[in-house]
Amino acid sequence: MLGEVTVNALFEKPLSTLTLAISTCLLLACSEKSTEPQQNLKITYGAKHGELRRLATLPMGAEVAGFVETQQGDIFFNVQHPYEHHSDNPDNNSLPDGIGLARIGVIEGVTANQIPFDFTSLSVPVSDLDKSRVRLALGQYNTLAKERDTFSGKIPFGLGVIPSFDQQQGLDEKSIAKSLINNPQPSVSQYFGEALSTDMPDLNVFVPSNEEGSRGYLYTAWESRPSTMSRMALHKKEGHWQVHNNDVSLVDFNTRSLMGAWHLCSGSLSPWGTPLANEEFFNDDDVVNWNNPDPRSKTFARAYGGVAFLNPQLNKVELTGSGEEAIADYAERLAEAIDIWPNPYRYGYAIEIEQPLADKPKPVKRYAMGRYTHEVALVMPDLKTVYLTSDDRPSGFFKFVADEAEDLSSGTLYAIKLKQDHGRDKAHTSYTGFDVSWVELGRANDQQVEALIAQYDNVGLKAYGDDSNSYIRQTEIDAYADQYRREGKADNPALAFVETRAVAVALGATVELDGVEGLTANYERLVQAHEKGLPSSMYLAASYMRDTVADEEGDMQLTENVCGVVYRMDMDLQFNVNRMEPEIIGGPYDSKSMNRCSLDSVAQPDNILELRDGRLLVGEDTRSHINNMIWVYTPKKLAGNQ
Amino acid sequence: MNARKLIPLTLFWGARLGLGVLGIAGLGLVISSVTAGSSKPLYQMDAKGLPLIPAEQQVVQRADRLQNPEAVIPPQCYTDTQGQFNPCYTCHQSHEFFKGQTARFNVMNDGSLQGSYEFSDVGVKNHWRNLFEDNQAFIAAISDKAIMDYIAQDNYSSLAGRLKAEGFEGYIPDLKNFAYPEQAFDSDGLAKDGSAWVAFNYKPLPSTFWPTNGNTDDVLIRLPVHFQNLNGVFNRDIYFLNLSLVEMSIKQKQFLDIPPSDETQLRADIDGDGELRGVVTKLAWRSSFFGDAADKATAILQYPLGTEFLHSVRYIGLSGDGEIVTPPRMKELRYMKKHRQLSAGQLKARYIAESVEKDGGELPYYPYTKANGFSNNYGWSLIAWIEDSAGELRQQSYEENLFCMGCHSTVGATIDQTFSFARKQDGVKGWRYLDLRGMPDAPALGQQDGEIAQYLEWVNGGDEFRENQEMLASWFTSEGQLDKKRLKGMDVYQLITPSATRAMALNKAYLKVVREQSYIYGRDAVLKPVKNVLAEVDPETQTPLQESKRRINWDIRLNWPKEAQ
Repeated sequence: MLGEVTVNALFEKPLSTLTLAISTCLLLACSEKSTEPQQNLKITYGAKHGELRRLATLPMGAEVAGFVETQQGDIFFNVQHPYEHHSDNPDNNSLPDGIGLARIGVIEGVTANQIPFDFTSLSVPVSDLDKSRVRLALGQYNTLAKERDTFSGKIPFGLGVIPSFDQQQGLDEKSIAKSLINNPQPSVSQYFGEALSTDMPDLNVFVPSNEEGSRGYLYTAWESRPSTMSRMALHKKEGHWQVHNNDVSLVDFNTRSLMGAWHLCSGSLSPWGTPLANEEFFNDDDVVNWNNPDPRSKTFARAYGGVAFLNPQLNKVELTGSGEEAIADYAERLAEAIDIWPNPYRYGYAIEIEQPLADKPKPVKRYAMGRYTHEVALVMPDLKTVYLTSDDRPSGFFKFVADEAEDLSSGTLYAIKLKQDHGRDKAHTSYTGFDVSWVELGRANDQQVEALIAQYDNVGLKAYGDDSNSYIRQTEIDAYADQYRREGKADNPALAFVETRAVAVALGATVELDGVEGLTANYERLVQAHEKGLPSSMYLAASYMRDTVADEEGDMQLTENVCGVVYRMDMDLQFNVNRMEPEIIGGPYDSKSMNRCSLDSVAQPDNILELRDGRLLVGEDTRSHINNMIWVYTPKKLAGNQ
Repeated sequence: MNARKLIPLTLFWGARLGLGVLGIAGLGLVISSVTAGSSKPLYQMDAKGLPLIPAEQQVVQRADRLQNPEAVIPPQCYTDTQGQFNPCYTCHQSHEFFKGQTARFNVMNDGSLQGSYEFSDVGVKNHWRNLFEDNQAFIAAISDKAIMDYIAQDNYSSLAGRLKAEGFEGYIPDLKNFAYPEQAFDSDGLAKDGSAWVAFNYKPLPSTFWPTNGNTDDVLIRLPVHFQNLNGVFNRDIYFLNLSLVEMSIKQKQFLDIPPSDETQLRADIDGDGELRGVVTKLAWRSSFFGDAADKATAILQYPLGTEFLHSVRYIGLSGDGEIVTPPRMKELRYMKKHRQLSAGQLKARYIAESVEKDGGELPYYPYTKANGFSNNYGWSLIAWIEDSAGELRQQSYEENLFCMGCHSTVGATIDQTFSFARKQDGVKGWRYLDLRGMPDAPALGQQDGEIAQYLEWVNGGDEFRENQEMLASWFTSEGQLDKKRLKGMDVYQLITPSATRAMALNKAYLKVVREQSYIYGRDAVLKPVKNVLAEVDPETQTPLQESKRRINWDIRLNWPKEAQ
């Protein structure tokens, strides 16, 4: 039987890597006649200097998050938002119970150091059942907690439900149904006021409470707007981890000083043992619309649905009637009832959780590290330098240098400046690297920044006007940038920490990255390298390389790669990043394949973790692989040491 | 002969097999069609007088590839609106909550997609090549008797047995005599075989589902067992009460007429007057269901967990009296089940995620299993069967099944992912198998004109492509203006069913798709190449629909006149 083909099909097949390499070499006239003798300009996919093997495949729809490697080499990871079949329907027995729920878990039966360097790569799942569950090349996945677990009532509404600000602990679905009983036409406020719940456990940070690291607290961020973190006491007995004594609680962000936490996603454990979580505040550039009371405004919906949850009195103002008059009336009544509207400048920071082993841990927002779409904050062994990723489109990449070691409350903030190796015509995501320098944005401390933030606490809805901006204006940002460029300081230093992205743009930093997510370096390896007087590196996951990365403007002008790239960021002996090199290339991409990114490489690398032995775990967050995977990248130089 | 497909096929296989047997055969076929000229039919006929398409010319799909990764965009979305004709509003809708409407769970809010052609890089190309086929020769080769005999065959009854025999793990059709609705259902639409499927009478969504545009169809609903029972035993009254509550949920009604139900016997205050007073015919909205489902809270705008729909798409049948009827043969059998109840917040998060993905130009992604078909990301699984080249129902392929997502996932008009139940005739009148006769052209909620009349006006035609000549002749002047006078007093049957001649032509045209197995290139019944459709969209130059022609806040639900109840 003939295949379904058309004339076009001859050209729709993905060309083999070799064919591409040859054709590209011909085009670029590489080999001896290359004008870039030091550069190898071959387009390749997969790992450039090592090997990739599949460690795990996840259920359809799910993404990987929350990598942790404990002292003993246990690997934790979370299964976010599996899109399920028949998970909740008791009438259907075709899939194991609970298979559609998000989970926090750990690999058991094998630790990182027991995974051979040449383990057999896991196959891609084929059967319905295999596509719907977690599979591992080695060991088993032990689920420690699932979304909605209550731990015998310790978490009354279940993991994943965000507690409301007035400590009502959220609303469950039954009360929503009840509230709708006598009113089949619920108002906007009822609709938006329902319980926030999420199926996205993201950051895991393990804070050990004993020397061997067999006991401790696992902190887990639950991504939503607003957000929360759970903390579970874990004990390891005879190789098996379990929650200890139902000692599970939620971190309290609902204080007047914090005003809740926004979309906590990823992070790390600081060298001095505090979890660093991050508020992934998208579109911080649309602040001008934040207090626009028009319910049709997208930002209003975001503000209302998210932050307004923290202000229950907002729910009492209802939109009734229809048409333009009703909107105007609603806006007016809202402005009357709530003259203080939530302050957007309260969100979008790194959060340090102090006293993580105490009964009540103390979260502190580190305003001094700037406000943007924080993803990961990673502290270097000098205990002052912190690298911070921002997951927005377009985005920058930031460095913070604290004034004092172990004290992130005061320091200098920098934004990355990239110079790509090749001009637009030769550049390609698979081989073009960047020289890295840093643009100083400002110097401040938490108190200074908070003082500036507080100036906007009282901005109400009445202040909104079509032509004005109730918040920091572009003219102020430009003035700051002008002065900083001329004098190396500013009259209002805190401004760069509140409108960080805009200041970075104004000062000429590279704000063109697209979907930059994970950042990792194994701390012990950094310390060892430093002690030997050797430079070291980190890995950075760019889940996409498109749009502002691939356009013809600015510092980044590369070919598009929608499958993503993992970069290696090289540092000098002062932990200053000076070079960025592509290390693992996702793809090639074929829109007609059911797995649109090649199965032989990563797709949309997101969460990454460098293991103690120098291998790299790469977790996917993609729609271009039917099942997201966890890869192990083994750099060539390591394999030689096996 | 379909030269367009043959030549590339021959080239491809000629290259691969070095002019082996198939290559030569292909060449031979090409030569013969060229010499004979394109208008002479060159079909081998089977014993039933229907054309055969040889196996080597049938479409065979690869297991790991999609011909069209954007199969969720149906052919209708490539309509050339010429900036002014809008068939898009029936699917792409925004329900701005401030217009006095309820906040909805479906917050796709994609009304701005009406006529905007905002496709991904893959979607800008119209992959539905069957729209451009001239099927006149194929149609001419088939006698009316041959096609009538074909559609009179029951291809449904054998499906369940075959699925069981092959160990199929998903839904196996469990409704007896579905090929013959008059045998399958009683006068209230309840299945006679005890399967608890219930047929209901609804107004077909404009306009692909109008019989004049190619198909008859029907939809059945079933609630889980505890909604059917009282104390573990099936109770017809309880079941219809619960079904009615679901209807009120979808339609947001406070009261609904029901079959006579005895309050004292059922021990429930059905009409909400605070007393148990014997037989009542009115149901009041309440906080929980009846019978064994009394512990289940009701909720608006959503179906209970476990709700199922069964939906057959069929040829256009003709009774002895020349009436348009639903024939036994099914083109497709479609099944969907609500396997997960998502809260408003969870749904909102998923709609936002989809909107972010679309902004990023990403291609659609839905989890798929062989047993359950596609999960539509909003709590439902959808699977379907379609005719193989011999007319026997087979499971749809991945790409064929993906097509379902276009209506049952990624659009803003649906209520809990469906259309038809929201369009059921209100109350008792709507509990029976589909019958368009006597059905008034009720306006959509919030509109003045009859829904069909309004569609004809806004689209300026009787189908999305404005190419149904029969509809144009029936309702429009020779200058192409809608003549509203002609619509007066017409019921739905009169408005949207085809003539016998047209019905036969449509049936014959569709058979070509069946024989070719070319569903992934489009499953519309195409008589002649469609003109008002775009082969490729250039987002830079394509004229979008004028703002003034966009229709938002349009409701798929209907304002049924009191006399119809």
